Amino acid sequence: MADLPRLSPIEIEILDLLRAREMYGLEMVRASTKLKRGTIYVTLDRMTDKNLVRSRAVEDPTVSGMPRRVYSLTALGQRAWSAHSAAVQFFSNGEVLT
Amino acid sequence: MMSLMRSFLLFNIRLSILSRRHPLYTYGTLWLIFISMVFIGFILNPKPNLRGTWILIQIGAIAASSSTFIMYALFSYLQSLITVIHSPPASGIVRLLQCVFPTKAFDRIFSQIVIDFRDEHAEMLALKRPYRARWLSVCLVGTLVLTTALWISTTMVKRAVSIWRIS
Repeated sequence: MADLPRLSPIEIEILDLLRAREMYGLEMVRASTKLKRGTIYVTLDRMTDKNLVRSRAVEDPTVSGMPRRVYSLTALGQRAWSAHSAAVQFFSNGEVLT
Repeated sequence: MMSLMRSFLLFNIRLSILSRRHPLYTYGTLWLIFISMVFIGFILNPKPNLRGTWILIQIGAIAASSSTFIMYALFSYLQSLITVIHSPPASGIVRLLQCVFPTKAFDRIFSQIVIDFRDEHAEMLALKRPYRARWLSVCLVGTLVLTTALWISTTMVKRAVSIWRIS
């Protein structure tokens, strides 16, 4: 638990979305109300540096130009999400008050 | 009267913005400038029958707006007849960003934003919503400026933290 990185609300939202499947940045923006186009890629870049998510370029042979990147969770990202959800469940059950 | 003048001014501004994208509209704007000059000359040297300044202003504004609208419609029709090849949105800015930023940052951040907006731009054009597509082009530039500022500030903080850790 101690070696897990701290997560911002935006990072938690991204991890939550990526739990189900790998997604593009625009898909994440469309699927969430918290994420904004202007900030999501900077956040994803930071999360990649923190090894919470990984990305790979997807080349479409029918479309010329820059390749899209698709994002997925890493093992550390999965652990960080599990720890966060466990903490939320712990506090929501009121166990901290007892 | 004031609302008429304001709409006349807004129309002029809008036409000027459109002229940047469509060469044919430039002639529309030139026509508007010509009519405006005639209108100003008409106010400065009124005819003997029409001496009321407000009446002259109203007649001039209506004449300039309506004639510009006709020219605008005519040029729109001509525009639809010819094939114009447009460069994709923000293509100039993309070249600049490619030169300025590291490859990694460009590939991971800026190119992804551009791809997203270009996809949506193409979608809107396919749905016959050109004004929405143009608005997305404007948004793309705004988003790139915002992201550049965010990236620079994030990088500076990262560097500062790494220097602090070393020291």
